[in-house]
Amino acid sequence: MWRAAARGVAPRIKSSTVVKPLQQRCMSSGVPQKKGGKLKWFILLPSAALGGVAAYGEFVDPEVKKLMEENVYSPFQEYVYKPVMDMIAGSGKPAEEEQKPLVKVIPAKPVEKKPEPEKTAVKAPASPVPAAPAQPQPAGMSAKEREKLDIEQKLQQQREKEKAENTALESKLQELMNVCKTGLQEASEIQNEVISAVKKHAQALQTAMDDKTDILNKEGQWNAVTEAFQKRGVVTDNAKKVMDSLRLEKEKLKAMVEEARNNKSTKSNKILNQAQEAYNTVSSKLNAIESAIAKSESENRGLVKFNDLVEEGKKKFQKELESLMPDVKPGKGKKLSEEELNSLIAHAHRRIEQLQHQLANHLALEKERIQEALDMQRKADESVCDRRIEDEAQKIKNNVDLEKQKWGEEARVQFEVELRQQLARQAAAHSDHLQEVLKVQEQELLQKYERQFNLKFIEERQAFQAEIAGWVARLKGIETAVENRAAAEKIAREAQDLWLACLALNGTIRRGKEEELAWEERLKPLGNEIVAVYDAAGNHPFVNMIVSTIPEKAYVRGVWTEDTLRERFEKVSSVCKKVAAIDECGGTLYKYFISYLQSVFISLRSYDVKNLNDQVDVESMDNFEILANASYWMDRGDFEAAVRYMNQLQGEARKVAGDWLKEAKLLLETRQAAFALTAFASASGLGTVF
Amino acid sequence: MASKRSEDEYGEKVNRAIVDTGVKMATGLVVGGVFSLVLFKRRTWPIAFGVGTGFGMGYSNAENDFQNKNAALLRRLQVDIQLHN
Repeated sequence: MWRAAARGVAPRIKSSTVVKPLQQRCMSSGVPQKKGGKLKWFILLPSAALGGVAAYGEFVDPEVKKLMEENVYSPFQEYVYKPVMDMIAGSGKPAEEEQKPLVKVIPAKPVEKKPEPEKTAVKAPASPVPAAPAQPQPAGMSAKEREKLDIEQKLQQQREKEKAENTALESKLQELMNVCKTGLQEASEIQNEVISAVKKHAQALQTAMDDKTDILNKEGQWNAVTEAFQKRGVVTDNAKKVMDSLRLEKEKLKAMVEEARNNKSTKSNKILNQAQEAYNTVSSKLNAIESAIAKSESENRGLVKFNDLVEEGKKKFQKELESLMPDVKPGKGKKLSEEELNSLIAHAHRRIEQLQHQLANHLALEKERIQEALDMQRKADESVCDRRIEDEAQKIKNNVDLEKQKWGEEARVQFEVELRQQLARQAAAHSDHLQEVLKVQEQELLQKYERQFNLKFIEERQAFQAEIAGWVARLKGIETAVENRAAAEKIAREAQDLWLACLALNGTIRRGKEEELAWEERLKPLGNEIVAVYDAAGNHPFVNMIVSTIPEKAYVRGVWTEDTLRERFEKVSSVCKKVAAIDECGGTLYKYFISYLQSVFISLRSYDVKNLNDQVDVESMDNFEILANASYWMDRGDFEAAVRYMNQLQGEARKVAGDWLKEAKLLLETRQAAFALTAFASASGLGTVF
Repeated sequence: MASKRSEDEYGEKVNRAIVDTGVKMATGLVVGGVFSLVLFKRRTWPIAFGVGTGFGMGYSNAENDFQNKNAALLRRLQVDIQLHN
């Protein structure tokens, strides 16, 4: 390509290496990219991940499930699920419960003037109440427990209601009492004011009427009087208002107290007594104030009346004057004419006359008048007195009521205490009595029980002992049997051991060292086997003796086996045959040669063999015969007979067979001992078997 | 002594005898031959003599080997005692 380029020819480029424009690249993938498709992944992927993790936790790994529960499920439950459930289910029962206490508390104590403290007092008890029923009941509680809980809740509600009512009542009464107190204070102040106003008025009036010194200022004085009168009126009105309101409050208080007394839940509230007292004081004070005011008023009524009369007289006089002289207006600066003056004087004289007449009348009737006035005053006083008495009576009654109430309560409390004491005493007495009776019973029962128990115990014990004795006897029997058996077995074992050892000995004697080929090397020292036999026998004298007969060579060097001796016998026999004719002096070569020649011509089979049980004349047998017998018996397997015969050899043959004979004798001895031991072992073994 | 068995003794004795005799005879032969060659002007008689001497010696040895002179003596004495008694 580069070369092509170097050449200046357009390089041949593979079509796949051509760079495609962007659009084509996108189009080639088949799906155009959309920009708004990412939102669904934001929802799908997390939910898929959660689902996958949940499934994994469910089926594969519980740890993961635990993690999920901690971090995902429980917050979800707390903050999302439960509120929703509460909202749905909470519009039922708990709302009713909430309604009831509110409804009950509000109409019981209607207070118009102070709604706020009422509301706060109501809210406070209402809030713990709906908390109680709206508590979620834990699942899995039995019906009984739920009932109990309900009852408890209801009790609690009731208690709280009572408490709420009481507190409301207390607060209201307190308010009322405060109001009454303030009202009372006000009233007393106003009373003072009223009294002072009245006094002032009276004084002003007095001065206005009697004071002759300052005639010029009469107008001013009369003005003062009117002022005072007005003031008095105002103050009196004020006082009346205050007293009315106070009376209202007092009545309210009384009504409330009455109702509280009637209401079971608030009957025993201590504040009632206080309220009662307050009411009493208020009412008494109010009455006192009223009476004081009335008294002052009555005191000054006379003066006012007098003033009124004077005013009336004046007005009459003026009217007459006016009627007489209508156009004369006093106070004007015009001078009066003579006529007018005369008529005036005449009128005045006439008036004076009339008045004097009247005065005389009055003087005459003075006493009666005075009596009347006194009677009236007495009546007024009586009425006042009556009123006061009434007031006092009311006061005393109230006090008595209060005292009665207090005494009643005290008495109740005391009664309660006494009753409790008595009950406690009775309970103590009862418990003491019970204790005594129980003690006595206990003793009785204990005795009975002990008696029975002892009897039973002894019975049981005897039975048990009998059983035990039986078992012990059995056990002893078993023990002895077992011991005997053990001893027998021991003996048997020993016998077995011995037998085995003897067997081993026999075996060794019979076989020797089997793996060797040369006869001399087949010798196996019997030391071990014999020691084994010796050990297995314990310290049995028979065994000891027998073992001691075994020659030392057998221990140390070992013993030729019968087979080997048999094999050897052939050679021995042949050699013996060759030197059979030679005696122990040996012989010349010639003799040897002749002997050899003889042996060639003699066959051992030609001899008649003697029976084993026959008596044998040894002297008469020559070597050949002996050899013939020996070999015959050796062939028949009777090693011992062969040895016996061989032992009869004489001369050189004997010398030749000497070694063989020695070994044969050794073998026979050892074998004899071994057989004896085996027999003994068998015998002792057999003894134990049966 | 390869075998100490008494039955082998006879065989060994015989072997010894033969060997011994043979050796002696051979030696005699050789000596005779030598003598013959050296001293006796190649005559045959020294060889025969030598062989004969050798054989004789060997035979003598063999016989002594085979015999048991002590036992013989004992026997003669016993016989003598018997005779005396």
